[in-house]
Amino acid sequence: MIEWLHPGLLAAGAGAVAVPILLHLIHRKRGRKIPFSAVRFLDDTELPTARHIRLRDRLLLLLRVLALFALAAWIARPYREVPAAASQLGDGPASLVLVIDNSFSLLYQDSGETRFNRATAAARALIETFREGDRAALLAVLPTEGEVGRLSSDKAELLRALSALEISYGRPDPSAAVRRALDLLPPTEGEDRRIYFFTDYQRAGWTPLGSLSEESQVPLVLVDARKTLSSTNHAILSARLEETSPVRAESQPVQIDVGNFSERGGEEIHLALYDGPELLTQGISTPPPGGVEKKNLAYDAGRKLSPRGRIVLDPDDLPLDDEYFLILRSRPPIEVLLVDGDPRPIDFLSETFFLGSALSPERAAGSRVHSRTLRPAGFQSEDLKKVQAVVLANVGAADLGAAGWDKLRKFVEKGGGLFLALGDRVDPDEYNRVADALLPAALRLKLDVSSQSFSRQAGALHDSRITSLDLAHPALRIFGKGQPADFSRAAFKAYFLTEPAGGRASSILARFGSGAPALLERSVGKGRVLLWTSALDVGWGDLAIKPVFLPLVHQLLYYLADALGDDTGLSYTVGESVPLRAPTGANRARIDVPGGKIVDVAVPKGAEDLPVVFDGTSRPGFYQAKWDGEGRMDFPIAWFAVNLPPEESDLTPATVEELSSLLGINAVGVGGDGEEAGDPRALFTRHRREEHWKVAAGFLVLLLFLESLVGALAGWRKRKS
Amino acid sequence: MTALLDPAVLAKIKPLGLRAQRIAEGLWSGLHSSRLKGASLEFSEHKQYNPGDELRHLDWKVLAKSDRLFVKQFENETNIQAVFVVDTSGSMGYCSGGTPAGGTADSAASLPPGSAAVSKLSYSVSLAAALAWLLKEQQDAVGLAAGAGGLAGYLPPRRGPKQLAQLFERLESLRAGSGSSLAALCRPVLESQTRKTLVAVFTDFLGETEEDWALLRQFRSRGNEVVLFHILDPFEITFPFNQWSDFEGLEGEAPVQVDPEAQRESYLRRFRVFLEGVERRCVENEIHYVRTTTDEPLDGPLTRYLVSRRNRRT
Repeated sequence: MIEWLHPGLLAAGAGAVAVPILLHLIHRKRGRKIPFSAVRFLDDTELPTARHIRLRDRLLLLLRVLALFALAAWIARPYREVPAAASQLGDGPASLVLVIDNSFSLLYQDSGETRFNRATAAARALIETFREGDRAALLAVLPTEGEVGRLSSDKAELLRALSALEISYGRPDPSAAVRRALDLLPPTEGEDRRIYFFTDYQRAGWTPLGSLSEESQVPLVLVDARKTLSSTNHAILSARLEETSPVRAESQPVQIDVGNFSERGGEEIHLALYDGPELLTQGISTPPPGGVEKKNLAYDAGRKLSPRGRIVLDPDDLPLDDEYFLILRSRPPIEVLLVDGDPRPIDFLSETFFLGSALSPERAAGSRVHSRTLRPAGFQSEDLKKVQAVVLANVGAADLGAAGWDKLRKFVEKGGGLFLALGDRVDPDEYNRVADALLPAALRLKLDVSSQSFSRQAGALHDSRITSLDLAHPALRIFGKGQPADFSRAAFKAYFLTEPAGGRASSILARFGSGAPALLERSVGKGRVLLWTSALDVGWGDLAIKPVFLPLVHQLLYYLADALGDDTGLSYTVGESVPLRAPTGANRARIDVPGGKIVDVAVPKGAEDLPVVFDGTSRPGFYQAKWDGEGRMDFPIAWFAVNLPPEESDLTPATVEELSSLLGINAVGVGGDGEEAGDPRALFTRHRREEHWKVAAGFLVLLLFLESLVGALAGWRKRKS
Repeated sequence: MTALLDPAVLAKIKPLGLRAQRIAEGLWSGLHSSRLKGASLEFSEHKQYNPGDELRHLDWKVLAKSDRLFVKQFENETNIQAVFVVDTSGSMGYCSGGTPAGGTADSAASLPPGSAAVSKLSYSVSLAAALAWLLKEQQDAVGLAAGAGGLAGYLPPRRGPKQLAQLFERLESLRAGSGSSLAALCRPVLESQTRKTLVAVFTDFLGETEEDWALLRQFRSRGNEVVLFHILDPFEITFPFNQWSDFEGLEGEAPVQVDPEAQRESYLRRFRVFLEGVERRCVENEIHYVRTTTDEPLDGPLTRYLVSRRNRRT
């Protein structure tokens, strides 16, 4: 049956056919009427001539009308469906695997419609053509739960699965999908086996399939989901915070890689950095065509931030990769109260002299620690509302008094930080008694490692240098970066031995060479307590005059004040596993995933020291890990950001030949020229289109020739008469 | 042709009596310049004296002037009576100049080339009026048969100005397509005839019937003089059309779609046969046959008639 590619034009042509008829009728209507007296000499004998002329005119009219119609038919492109072409299915039973590329690059807006929609529409059109005996499986490039992983003849099931299919944001492996499809298509006699791969032809991700046996060779029909073959896309490929001094409150540089995956360049792209909804800074990027520009922005990190940072580009046709998530570093100033338990008239002999110096702006330019020193007696009257951390340096238990200790406990339980440094004014038993609720461990014996008797008795215990440091701890992490900090140069003359007490959730952050804990941590309520088992002045050791002292005390106090600002490394790519360090006492993590879902991750018993692995980074965005413990809800909250795989932003297409050669499989391309793809059903009709415009054109020429012939004959006859 | 006798000009002279007088005067002035100088309708003719002629009829004046013997020959019928039969069939209203039947064109400049400005009926009326005027001058009786058939359309011949005025009035009231057939007009004339009559028929004879011819023959058989003024439009003779057209008859014929160029030859042939046929039958029946076209000055057909009449007498 003849159909028309442009039926509208045919209708218009049919309308145009009316024109000569109308003209003929009008002409007839307006034909001259002549009153004449001698008409009796005109009739009868001359009638055949008139009839002949009328016949001639009607023949000419007919020829002209037919010529017009042939012209309209020519323009309207008549066609007929004829048996299928090589890329289409024949009439026999077919075993197919439909592979849908569900990587996020398919979200590219192609003339107002995503390529994913076009791909699924094309797949739907193919399924609609299924006949009895046809079977198909439905796979996604990024495997999802809704796949039909076996050959099914249930068309409804396939259509349901197709409707449920969603975009995944991970790193796609299209070759693996082809391999899975091949596994589903064992050789069968008399069946038409095909893999239909609905793709945007993105080059990234394809890898060789390896050698395939002749039997396992199945034609791969690549169905182009693109409407326009060229794509323009710019994206934020990565962003990272540059390292800055942890002790200073200053502007924080952010290095951003802006990619331009198009042939056009020189366009100014606006990019902005937000903290939640608040704009922090913005700039302009002009990445070269096909290249990447490294763009630097800086924001004020000297204040508390959310810390969910978003870098946003001007949206383009693939808006998803125009947003990048990162955890912002914020280093707000903190208020620290130093309680000196052994003040001296000579400053440098005071217990807090070195600590105060290390924290003072004079020693650490731009230090964000605001410290005040007071005596234990003044503590009771001190307002702690604005204080984030309190340092007790060699404060005797009695000096503070029971009320002082109680005040301190409440302060910590509400979220404050307490740093306990010991000294000769500390009586372990007294401390164990009055500060039991705060101490990470019970204090025991004071070791004076410098005495000869101890050296002889203790043997290997003489090593009083700090040899072990928990570099995974947030407060100490920076000491593991770059050139490791040398703590071993500090020697200690004395320190307290401790004994872990039952029921206290505490951890050891540093140890002496003897194995004795040097730094311990305990969470109390919403706050933290750090116990330094030695003293902070130079009486019990020389750490206070070593270079490492200053960053150490800063880090510890920032940690206590929850203002470390160093949890910014937690940025991952979709699909990547995230190791989470469980705080002491936590037994599971509840992770808020973008999209409102909550995923529970249990901390394996017996492996509390190992990080917990979270595998659910399925979407880009911010993830929030809240820890749960035995009846405790006071664990700190951890944030991490997950971003899209940057290579997916590169939409550079491969050709059918390239993919065919790479995969070692016979690949055929279908669609992609806009017109055909606009009607996906046409791609999969089991027939192909045979156009007949040449026939119409031939008719037109013939009719015009006949018209000329009739006209010429009439003229000749007239001249002859 | 004198412009005074141009049918188109004369048609604009509304009082028919005045028009007739103008034609008659023109006719006379034309005759004076012709070899028929001195002739008249009821004139005394001269003929060469032959032995036996009465000497009292000898024209002495001529003898004195030319030394030749001529006798005056007087018309025996000193008071003739004439009846004009005017055909008012639809075809008589045809005017190739495009004006309505019986009317005249506004100006000659707007006329198609070779066309006439007056209809055949109008031309016939003028011609009849002129002839009536001539006869009135000679105190002859004139009558008219036109329009309605039977006695209603018949004005018996009488003398005098009153009769002439009545005749003119009737002529002026004639409209093409409203009258009876020629035979119906002739019949009362024939039936009421008591003496020899000059019967002048004004027609295009396009609707000729055998009955018409039979009546004309009866007129002749009773010794009447019959003259047939065959009035035609020039387009009927030349058929100058060249555009495909619907030709509509004026007497109720079905329209005919015609390519004139293709048909011209056959039309002219057939029309010529028609004309020849009419003329031949007139000759056979001793009927004066005067053919004229409506673009011809009105003295033309009159002159031809008078010459024909004189020739027949000699």
